[in-house]
Order: sequence, then structure tokens, then C-alpha cells
Amino acid sequence: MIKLLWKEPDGVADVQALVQGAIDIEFATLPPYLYASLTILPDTNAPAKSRMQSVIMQEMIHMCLASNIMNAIGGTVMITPPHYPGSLPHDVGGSLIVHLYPFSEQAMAQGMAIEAPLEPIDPRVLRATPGDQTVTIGEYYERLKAVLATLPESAWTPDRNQIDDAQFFQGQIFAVNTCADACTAIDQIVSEGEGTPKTPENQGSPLDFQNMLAHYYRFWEMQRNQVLEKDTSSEHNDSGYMWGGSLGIDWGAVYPAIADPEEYDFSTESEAVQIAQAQCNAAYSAMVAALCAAFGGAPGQLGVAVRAMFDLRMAAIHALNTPLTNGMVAGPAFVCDQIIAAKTLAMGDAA
Amino acid sequence: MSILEFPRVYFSGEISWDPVTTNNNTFQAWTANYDEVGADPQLNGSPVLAGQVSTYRKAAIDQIPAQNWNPAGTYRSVFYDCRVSGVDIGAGLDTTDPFVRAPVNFAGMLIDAEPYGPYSSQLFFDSIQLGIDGGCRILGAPVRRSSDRYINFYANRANAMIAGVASVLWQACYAWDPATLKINAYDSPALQALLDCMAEPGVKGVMTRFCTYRTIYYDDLNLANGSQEEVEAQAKALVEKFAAGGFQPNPARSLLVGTAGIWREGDPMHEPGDRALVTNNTVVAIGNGLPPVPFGTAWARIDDGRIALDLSNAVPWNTTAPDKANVGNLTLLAGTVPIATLTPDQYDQPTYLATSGIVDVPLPTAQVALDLSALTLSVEIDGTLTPLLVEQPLRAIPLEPNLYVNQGDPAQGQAQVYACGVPAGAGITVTMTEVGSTENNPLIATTDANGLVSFPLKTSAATVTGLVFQPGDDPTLPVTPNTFNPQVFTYMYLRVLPNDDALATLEPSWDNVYANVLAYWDAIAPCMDNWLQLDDEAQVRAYAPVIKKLTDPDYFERFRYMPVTRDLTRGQRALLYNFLDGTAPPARLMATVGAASGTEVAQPDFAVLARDMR
Repeated sequence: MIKLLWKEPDGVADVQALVQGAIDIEFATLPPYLYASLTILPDTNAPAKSRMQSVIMQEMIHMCLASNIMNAIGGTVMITPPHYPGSLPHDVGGSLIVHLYPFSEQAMAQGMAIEAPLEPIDPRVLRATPGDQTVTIGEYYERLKAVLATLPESAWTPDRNQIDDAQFFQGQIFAVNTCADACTAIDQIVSEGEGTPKTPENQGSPLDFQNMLAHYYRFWEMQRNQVLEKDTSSEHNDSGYMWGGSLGIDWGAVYPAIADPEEYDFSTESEAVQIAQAQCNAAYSAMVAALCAAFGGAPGQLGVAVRAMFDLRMAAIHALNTPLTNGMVAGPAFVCDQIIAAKTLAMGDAA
Repeated sequence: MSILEFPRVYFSGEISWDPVTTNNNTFQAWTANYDEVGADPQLNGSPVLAGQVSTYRKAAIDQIPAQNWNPAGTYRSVFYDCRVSGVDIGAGLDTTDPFVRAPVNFAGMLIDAEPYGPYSSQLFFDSIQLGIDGGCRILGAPVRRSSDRYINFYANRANAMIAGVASVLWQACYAWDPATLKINAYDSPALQALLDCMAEPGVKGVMTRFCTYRTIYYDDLNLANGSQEEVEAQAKALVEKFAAGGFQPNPARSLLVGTAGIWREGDPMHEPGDRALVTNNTVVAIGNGLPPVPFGTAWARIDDGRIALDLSNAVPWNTTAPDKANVGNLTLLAGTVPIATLTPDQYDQPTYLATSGIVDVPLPTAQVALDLSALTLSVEIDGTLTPLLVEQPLRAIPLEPNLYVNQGDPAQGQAQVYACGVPAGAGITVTMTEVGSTENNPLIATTDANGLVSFPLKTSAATVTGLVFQPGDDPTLPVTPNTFNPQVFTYMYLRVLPNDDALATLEPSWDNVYANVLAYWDAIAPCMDNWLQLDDEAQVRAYAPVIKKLTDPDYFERFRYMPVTRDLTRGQRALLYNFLDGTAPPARLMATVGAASGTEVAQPDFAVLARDMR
């Protein structure tokens, strides 16, 4: 289970740093998920592909919503692309090193680890306690909600650099203008990642607020290669679910892709391989730059980022069809070829 | 027949519309133009160079403020915030069934068979899913695309923005076959009932019918009754986005209500075949200072002592919220005998959302003595019970709502005649006319024993033509663009793609294939280069197998068919394949509407109404 650093904030700048942490974590989930999805061979593994794509889309949406919260409270969205393998941003637990794995049981297990739900909520957990702590993503968001609620109304600026659903993701991205909007956004993010948490009043559910399967359970389905089914038999357990039929995953229908291409020495590979990697990095860098601009309020930049994302996909497909000397292939390393963000914000630096 | 039977699954939510609109115009003076007959974006160059495509795309953007509201759409139409809202197994609306609140997912490509007009929009989609894998679910792959029918130009006069005034009906069917339709009932009695029905004789599968309404543009509901300046401000903002480069779609969005139910033998796939209560264009006051309007056409089915009315596209709205207009009690008559009264709360917006516009009313016990073959829905106007919808017992519904044919290929227009909602028998005269034909020489045929009628279609020249089918001995002739009322006439569109077989003999060089095929796609549908740079020879060659798969005629119905616009000609395909194979060549609305009082019949100009939709 991912553990994030939680430090009690002292003022708006600290809250902004915590929101930046949420943005970082949402962004950091994308490369590993994309790498796994891209390495599925065309026209194979349709159930897995659709599950992966839906998770990826929602992670993009989560990042937009978190960025909207940041802009609403007067902060500046920073995007600092992480390196793989490596810890996720703010992960001081140190237990999980995230890799870029091709589509595999290992990649799915990693997805589960990232998306693992909260433990049953104990009201004591929700109370702010002083000092540094490590918390799950869900707990991190719950605490973030609590501290956002402490901000004065004057801290919220309506219509500041907001991304809405006018062009992309209809019905899923909305402007954050108030604390209530921010709480709605956080509830959706947590729900889509982890499902409905267990509480003393609720036995919990793998379904999110839209009655769709949450990310954690989608990864679990793929990892087990079984559909998580509603259990209506008389023998059902408290969960109300059971492991059903096969998902039909063919773990062999995957590009022979190396893991963690950032660690691979491409200098000894053919020019074609190096060009393919360069094209991936160029598209990725362009996407990150455009996202930064979009979250800074520049008109049309989200469309530029989406365009770059399509370019990245094509570059990735090309790279995955360009063999290495060892007979394998490499997908995108997700390396920015220029510095997009100045640095990762530490606590209190956001001012 | 149809979703008017039980069980029913109701759903509601929203849908986005993201078509490229560059090919919707007919203004010859514009650089970004499209000749729909020639299937030609008129790049005017031989050879066409990439620079011309850039110029064309720029011109398409420049035309935004005037008309072109979406030069870089994805064509995608996607349900969102859409859920099962209730079920009915014959015991009334049930919102406690476990299937209720399940998400409904749909993604289709919105493509016009006739790009200039609003009568032939189509949704090409691979599947619809109500519910989720592992839970209560209906998952269906359609037999055919869904096609817009019964566009109602009077649905909401409070929403004047482009097609905001209109509502549209969409229907599709899913054959009961494990490969194309799954019903996972689990603990849902409604789904179990539906599943049980699949084993009944005559049941072919599942049907969905949904109505889209309250369309808004630029994601701004205020434009519904906003000023020209407000529209221009939004258009200017869109142009500014394009200045940044990238990919800049501008989807519209609508609300929707829908129903899933039984598809029986004899049911048309693409439009209702139930008993048709057709608008007679009598206008009724709808309040809020809006001009009076006619109702839209409705459908009915009589079963087991009850009558089911599909009013999903019938009762007008009078706000942008939207709210249904309260026109008072509606009276259903059989012949001249009132058999049911619908109070306003039976057709208001909450009820509309709850049962997707379907209203069930019990029939009087003395129904056997009634003339149930002549239904009328009436309203009281100035103290007089006045018909708004009158049953047309005979309807001739074409089997193909929109037919694509290559010039010179033989083709037939077939229609099934229905008598009071069931397939008719032999001996019924049907007249087929071309909308706007100046020749006034309709074709006449007589139904066979199955109620089917066939007409040879003229394919000797490229064309995009609306064909109207009128059963009976007293057809309305001629049918002009101004009198073609999609609420009254049943019709099909015939698109004959031009004969350009000479293209197949061209040298299959990159220059030729780009100039004659790919540049067309590149110009009209910038979204296609989201996955493939159409002006990049190396990329096109690298993806030759994929391109061939996506352009295969057998792939035509699929979501990802190329070109998305479905206007690939035979000669273009041959040239493209020769290249890929590397082989040698072998505003204004209803001006005549009067005051709200009295009984009036609208004299709408449907050509004007249709033009305002683009």
C-alpha cells in the first residue's frame, strides 16, 4: 500500500503544498499504467485493455480536478515528471518502488498496491494530529478535505484557471470554485480509486460513486484474471461479491517489452531505436509543457496537450515495433527532455 | 411490439455530440466547402498538396463565427452521467430493482448520410452497455447503426441556439445471440424477466430507443436565448484556442431519456413500428411568452387492458431547464369516444424523466365496444376538444434508413407496411417520391403477402436524396424540401457515391493517393490524424494493414471505420489499396404561426427549419 507523507499544514501555502502532492501522485500513476496498456498487443486482451484505458482516463481527470483545486486556492500547478523505477512523489514509506512494467501480473499487482483502499475508517484517523505521518492515498485525500475546510472563504478564487468539461471528458471534469466543489472532487477521486469505503454504517463496496468498479478492483480482476461478480447465492459472504469467470487474459499477447526503459542504455542500439525513443520523449515533454500551460490558464493548451498525447501514443507504438539488439523492444521511457517544472515543492515552499 | 411491452428498463442522462461541421455548409464562396454529391471537399488542386489542406483547415476555423461551430470535432457521441432510472415488469415503475442506478455507457460516431441536412444523422457504435461486467447488465452489439428519425423542430422554442430547439428519436436493436447480446440478471427481477422473454417465440432480442433534447453549444446554456454578441464571444474564444495549435474539439451536449425492452419479429430496427399517432400540426399554447407549437408524433400499443403511449418526443418544453409545457389535460380517444385522460402531472418533466416519456393508462372495461383502430390525442382549446395527434393506420417504413451505394450499382428501396402497428398484408399501394424532385413522377408499387414493397433506385448519377414512402391511395404530392415534415413522413436517404473508377487506373504513387484520397480525409476530419498523420507517407505505409482493415466495406458499421465520414468511393478505395499493397494498378422559425388562441395549423417551412439546425 502506498504511503504518502502527511504533515500538518500551517497556512494556505502549506495547504497548497499538500494539494501539489495530490497532483504529483495523480500524474505519477500515469506512466506505469500507460506503459502496461501500450504494451498489450493490438486486437488482443480486450477486457484488460478497456479496464486499463478507463483507469488511465480517470487518472487524467483526477489530475485535472486536483489542479483545479490548486488554482482555486491561489496556487501554481507544477508538473515534475517522476523517474522510473522510483518512489512515487511524497512516498516516504519507501516500501514500494514503482516500475514501468509491460502488461503482466506484476504490473497489475503494482496497480493494486498504488490504488489500495483505505482501511475501515476510524474517526480517530480522520482527526488531525501533529507531526509527520505516512498515510494512504485515500487518507491523504480525506485529510486534505479537512484542511481545505479550514481555509477562510477569502482563500477561494472562483474561475481561476479552471479546466472544465467543455472540450474533453464531458460530465467528469468541473470547475472548483468553492470548498464544497473541492470536496466533491476529492470524493470522486477517492471513490474512483478505491470504491466505497467501509464505515461503521456501511459494509463498503468495490463500486465507486457511479456504480462502476473502482481502480483497485479492476487491477485485482486483471491480476487474478477473473471477473469480480455480484454474489447472489445463499452462501455469499459479507462482501456480496465473488470471483467469477475468466477475464480471458492472455499474458503472452504482449509486446516483448523491457521494463524501466529509462535505465536501459540505448546508446548502443540502432539509430532507429534511438530515434524512436527520442520521439517518445519529445512528445511526452511537449505534453507536460502544454499541461503546465493549460493549468496556468493559457487558452487552448489543453488541446495542445491532448494533441501531444496522441503523438506520444503513435511514437510509443512505433518504439514498440522497433526491435532492440536483444530481440526485445522498449516502450516510452517517459523522460522529459527539458525541465518543465522548477522543482518539487517541499512543505512551505509554495508561497 | 417493442419497448412499449414489458419489461422495460428506463435510463436517462446526457450525451455529447462532437461532429465536424465543416461539411455542413453549402456556401460556394467559402474556401472550406464540401460538395456532398461529389463527396469532395473541393481542394481545387491537382495534385493536392499538404499546403492546400492547411489552408482549408485554416479557412474552416476562420468560418467559425459565421457558422462552422466545430471544425475539429472527434465525431464521437458519448453518454455521460447516464444511469438506469427505473424498471417496469408490468406492475408499475420500480426504482428498487438492483439494476436501478447502474451506469449506462455508449460511444458512437455521429455521421450524416446527407451532410447538409438534419434528417439523416447516424450513430455508428460497437456496443451499448447498461450496467457493468460482473453485475446486473445488458451488453449489446447493434445489428445496425442507429439513425436519427422524427426530428422535432418544435420541441423547445425556449432554446433557439442551432439545433437546441429540436429533439430527436434514436432506436437500435440487438439480436439475441451470445456473440452480440448478454443479459446478466443476477438479483434483478426486471433483467430476469427480460431474459425470460428472450426464449419466447418471435422475440428477436433487445431494442433501445432514446430521445435527445435540450441541446446546448459551446458548453453555454445561456446561449439558448442569448444574443448574437454572446454567441460571437464564445466563437471568438474557440478561435483563440485554435491559435494555440493542438486539437480543439467543441462538442455540443444534450439531455436524453431512453428505454430498453423487447425487440420482436416485425419490429423495425431503426424507428418505431408501433401505432403512430402523427402530429396534425395543430398548434397549442405553451406559455412563457413563446409561440404556440404542435406536438411531436407519438406511438401507442394496446395490451392487456392498457394502452402504452410513447410521448418521449411529443410534448414540447417551454424553458431551458427544461420544463414541459402544461397544456392542460390530454384526452385519448378511440374514434370519438374518450378512453383516457392524461393530467399534466402524467407528462411533466419529473414523470418524463422517470419513465422516459412512456405513459401507461388503463383502458375502460368496455373497450371491446370501442373503435380501437382510430386513436386520437386531443387537448381542449377554447372549450373545444381539438386533436393534436391522429393515428395514421398505415405506415410504410423503409428497411434501410440511409443507404450508401456506389454509382451504377443496382439498388432497391424496400419498405415494410404496417397497419395499426403490425406488419400488413398484400395489396396496399405505396408511393415513393423523391423530396424536391421536379419530375413529379413517383414510383408506385403494391405490397406482397408480407406487407413488403420494393422500388428500384436510380443510381446512374451521384446524389444524396431523400425518398418518402406513402402507403394508401391518397399520397401527398409533390413532397418538396419545404413540405417534407419528418414528423409525418417516413423516409430513407439514398447516397450514391460518385463513380470515379478512373482513379483505380492511376499510378499508385504517394502523390496520387494523397491528392485523391487522404487529402480529403485530412481536410475534412482533422481528428483522424489523432492516430495517423495522413500526410506522412512513411506512417501511412507502416500502418497499411490497419488502414486496410478499417476501410474494408465489411467494417462499415463499426465505430472505427475509415474514413469516419463514410464517403469513400470505389475508385478511391481501389487507388488506396493499390498503394497500400504496393501493386501496379490494374433563424428564422415558423413565420406563419399566429396567436395562441383558437385552433391553428402550422404551415412550417421545413427547409428553413432544417437549415437552422446546422
